[in-house]
Amino acid sequence: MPARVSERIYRLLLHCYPHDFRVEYQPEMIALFRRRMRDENTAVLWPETAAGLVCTSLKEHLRMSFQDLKYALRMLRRAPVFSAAAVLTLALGVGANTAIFSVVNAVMLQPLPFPEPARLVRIWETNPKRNIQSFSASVPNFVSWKEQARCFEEIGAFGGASLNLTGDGEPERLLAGAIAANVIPLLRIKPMLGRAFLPEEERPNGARVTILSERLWRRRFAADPAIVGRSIELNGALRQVVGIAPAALQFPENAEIWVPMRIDLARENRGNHVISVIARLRDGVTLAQADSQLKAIAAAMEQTYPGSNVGWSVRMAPFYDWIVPERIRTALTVLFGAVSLVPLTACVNVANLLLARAVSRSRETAVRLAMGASRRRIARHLLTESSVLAVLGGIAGALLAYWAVAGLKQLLADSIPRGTEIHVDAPVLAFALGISIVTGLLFGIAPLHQTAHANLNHALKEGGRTSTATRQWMRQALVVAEIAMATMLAIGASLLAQSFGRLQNAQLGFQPERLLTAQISLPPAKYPHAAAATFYERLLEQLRHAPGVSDAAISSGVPMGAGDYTGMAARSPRTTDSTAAEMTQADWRMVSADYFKTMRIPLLRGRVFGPEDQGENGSPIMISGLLARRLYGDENVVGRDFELEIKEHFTIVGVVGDVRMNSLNQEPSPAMYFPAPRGLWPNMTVVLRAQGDPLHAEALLRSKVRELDARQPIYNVRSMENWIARDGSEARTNALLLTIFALVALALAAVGVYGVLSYSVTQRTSELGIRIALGAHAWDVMRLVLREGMLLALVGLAVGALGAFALRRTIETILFGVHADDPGTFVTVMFTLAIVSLLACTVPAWRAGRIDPLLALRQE
Amino acid sequence: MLKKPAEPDPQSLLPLPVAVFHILVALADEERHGYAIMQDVADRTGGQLKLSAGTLYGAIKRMLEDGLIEETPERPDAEYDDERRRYYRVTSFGRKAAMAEAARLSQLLSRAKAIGWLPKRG
Repeated sequence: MPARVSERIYRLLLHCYPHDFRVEYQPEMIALFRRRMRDENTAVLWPETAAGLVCTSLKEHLRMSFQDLKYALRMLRRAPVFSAAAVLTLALGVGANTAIFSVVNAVMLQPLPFPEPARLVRIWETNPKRNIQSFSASVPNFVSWKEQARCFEEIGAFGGASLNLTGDGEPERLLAGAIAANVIPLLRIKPMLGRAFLPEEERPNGARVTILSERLWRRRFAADPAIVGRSIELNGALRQVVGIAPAALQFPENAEIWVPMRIDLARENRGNHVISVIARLRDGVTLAQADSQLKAIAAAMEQTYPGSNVGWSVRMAPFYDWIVPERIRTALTVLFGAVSLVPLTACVNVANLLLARAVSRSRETAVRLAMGASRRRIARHLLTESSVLAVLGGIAGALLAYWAVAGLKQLLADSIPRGTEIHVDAPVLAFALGISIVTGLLFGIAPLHQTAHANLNHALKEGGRTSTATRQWMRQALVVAEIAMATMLAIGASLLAQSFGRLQNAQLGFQPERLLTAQISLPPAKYPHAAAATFYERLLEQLRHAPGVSDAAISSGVPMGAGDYTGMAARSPRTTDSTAAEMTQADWRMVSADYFKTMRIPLLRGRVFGPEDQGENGSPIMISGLLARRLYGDENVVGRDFELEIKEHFTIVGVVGDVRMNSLNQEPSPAMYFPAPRGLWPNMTVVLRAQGDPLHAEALLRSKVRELDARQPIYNVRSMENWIARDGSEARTNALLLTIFALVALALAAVGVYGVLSYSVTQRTSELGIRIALGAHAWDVMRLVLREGMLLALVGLAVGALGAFALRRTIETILFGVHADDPGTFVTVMFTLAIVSLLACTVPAWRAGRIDPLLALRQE
Repeated sequence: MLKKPAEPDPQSLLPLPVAVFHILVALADEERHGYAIMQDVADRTGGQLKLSAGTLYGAIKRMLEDGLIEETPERPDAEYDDERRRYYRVTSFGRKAAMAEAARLSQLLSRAKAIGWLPKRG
């Protein structure tokens, strides 16, 4: 190799060394290389040089980084307030964002626990004319789909049930599922032990078998593998345990035990919509294809079974959309968007702090530059400093997130789907690391930019004050952005808080105070109808006379609580047209005579159920005021005939007030009530109004039930207020979280305003001093500073309000009783934030007003 | 600003890295430039220790920072050509450090000798 080429290669290779090192020693090293080229054998020289180069350049880099790190730590330690503020600010940003990301990750990003989940669909029956979007399917319809549809690899179904587990230990009532034999293979989950159900076990007289959930297996049977093959007593009869299912089998939700779904078409009614249908699409079949195929089948069935199927069609959605409804996704997206502003705000603040510091250090920088330090080296120092801050902030943030996630999990586990899956894992930590790095880079750039343009002479001459117009502009823009973010968050939080408040004050239609509810399911085998009726009559009789209880009743379901929510269509007597359009869908309940008195639901007309309604005579019904108006207008309906879609006739004995049945944010729905215990549902809810704390009545209730049947469990024992709180928990969570974020952002913004103004006052000390020396009042100087700060604040407020207005559609869907562009909210929030900004301006302004002109001028 | 300590204790630098001690020895009696140092070390060790350019200048950089050696004004290398070279010489602090290191090594050697680990000279 010619010497010239070798030297050129060597020169190129020297770029491996840190810049400063190369600048210092490159000529020497090249001269040395040239000398060795002349004196030594190239074949030996090159390998030696290359090896040396790799080792020593790496060493130089490490050494330099280590030095930079030491230097950075020393500088940070020397400014403890600044460092603590920066690290805490970053920790807040990283922690808040990571915590919410852990929720987004668990709920929206983690795949469902089934292989190829995209091919799994949930199928509902719909009746658009009656405004029914998602309804359960009837067993005969499901069987017809199964026979006719070619687009599914498997189509299965499940229904809810409840079983009383007796035998060893306390009697316990278990949430259960009746599943088709193909549900487990369809989901492609493997039993942990044993097997899935067999098709022959679906038959009406198939073997009596059961599958336990992992949870129940561990809780009740101490994870004993020998339980498989043994029999346990369910609803008073023995069933053989054939398998243990993993946690992924969540159908129906929270079920702990499963039995085969018995399909007996001879006993099923096509109009009885009771089961949930799920399916796995055949490979290559799209959702749209499957949907249109099944819709065509449903349309044909309307012709074949006009009596039950007219007006009914189908709808399907991917599993994911079913399990995580759009409402939840919107709420999470809003939250995540909001919380993403927090690290941004933190970032802006730290950049601001660093910037102010870089300016105050510009003299030091200039001196170092003058002494021969390269700009590159100084930039490296600054970057190291901001990286150290970012890393420390990231670690503190991850710790914060770890605690926050534990709190969030508790808060959210019940109120959002997959809430129990929330945890800190590798993706979540990677996310925290990612945002720390991004924020570190973002806020590190500002002072870097400044250093790159530092004017040496200017900095040395000015005694450290180098406030140029551009930099001033940059800092001000940062503060405006902070205030704008805080404004947006505060408006969002305020809207959600109002929405939550409205929910709490929503007219329920009953009085929830001091009500205790508990569910009982009497096994039909042990309690045929008459026996069950006697059981409930005796229970209510005992409770009514118990101390501390003012009223007691039973119902097939209580508002907001557990129970049966199905609706039925009622026919308006004013039309002879029997089309579905003239039907009114109404919720129905079976209630005992004292239900309305216990719940404090007002009787509007007629009478409540009495003993005369319990026999076989007549068909009494009570309806809600809303249903009465829908069907009969303003006429007096007491004593009138009432006809259900299924052609059954009743006589209206009374009209009662409207009640919010399903949710606080849903208007009361039309309702009809049938007398109990003449009619009973397998699961009934006992409601009692206590004279004191309703939860104290729980022991009493348990003892009364035990006196009647020691093997009969009660479950879901809750106060009515607890049911209502659960219903409002999502709204409360949203409001709470956004309020926390808004407060954090507001604190950050206030610190931002304060920082920038303080800095500005320091920079202008001599100018302000001269003003005072020339006769300006302290108040004039203060006004000058206040004006500077408030101008920024007002611009920020305006930008934030515009931003909130632009984003109003996003938040609208989760609001109740308040509009996303509510002017009152906007004005109140902006006014409050203006006051906070004014307070943040006061200290620097006060300081400016107290500048001693002599002292200020002497500093020149 | 980085401040140099007034008069550091030479003991605090011990043990000196091999390259540093060799460079100090090479500069003991005369000022040398980089290549000359490298050659001197190679000659003295019979070619066993050949400092690479990176090791050499890395060590020189650190020794300058620690005040063990100092630079003398650049001048041409009379022996070879008229290219201007940087020359280095030992400072008094460097001399103290080298002596301390020598004493440390000598102590170590006498221990080794006492237990018979040192080969007898021929």
